[in-house]
Amino acid sequence: MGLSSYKEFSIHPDNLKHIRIYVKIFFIKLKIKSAQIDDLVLVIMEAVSNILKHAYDNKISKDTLKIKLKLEDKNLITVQIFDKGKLIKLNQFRSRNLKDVRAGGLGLFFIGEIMDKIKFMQTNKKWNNHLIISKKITIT
Amino acid sequence: MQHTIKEGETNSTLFLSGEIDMSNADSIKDIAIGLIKKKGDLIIHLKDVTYIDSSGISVFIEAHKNAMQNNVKCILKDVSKEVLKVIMMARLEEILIIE
Repeated sequence: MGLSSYKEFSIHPDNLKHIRIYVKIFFIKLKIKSAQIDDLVLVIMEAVSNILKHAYDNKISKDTLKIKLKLEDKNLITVQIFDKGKLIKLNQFRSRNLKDVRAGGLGLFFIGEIMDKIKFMQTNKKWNNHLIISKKITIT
Repeated sequence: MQHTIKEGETNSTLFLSGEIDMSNADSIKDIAIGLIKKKGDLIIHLKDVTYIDSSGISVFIEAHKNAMQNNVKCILKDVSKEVLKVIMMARLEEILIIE
């Protein structure tokens, strides 16, 4: 799989487990610390779940989303996730307020807690939403 | 994800195993809230849960809230380290009842 990999998955909740396996194998092959693998897998799954929920309103679609994983220089992992769902405005989401015990917003909260950088774009012609997240990692 | 239910006189126990994500969280939530309404106290065993995301944590939040509204308890028992890590990341370890 090398230092970078990408794969497309159709929009279906049953694909969540396939995405989990795909990203986990990539990180295991890079020999990233297992605790960091768990964190990275969680973040990617939260981002994908948000696409299914918000860009596709929990509806199954023949569209695909693309996940691109890359080990950059200096042990930096960059994850890009592209989708063709409806345009998402990041400010329509509210990350969780810790004093507010509620179910919503936890996924975004986890992404913000775990990742070092988060960038969200809607400039690509083929894809509607484009999330770029990165984190410094430790190779065992 | 697999589940097993044991119903007692005044409580019930829900054994969960495998992975909890948005593909199965709603059905677990329905089962948990149904058991709370039917039997009162609910004990959820999580020893064999190997993966959980925010959708799964939301199930515990909703079950906990529902139990409080019904003056009963929702207790998380034998929580696996994978689940505990995510509960703690959500800063919920002192809000949810964990034994």
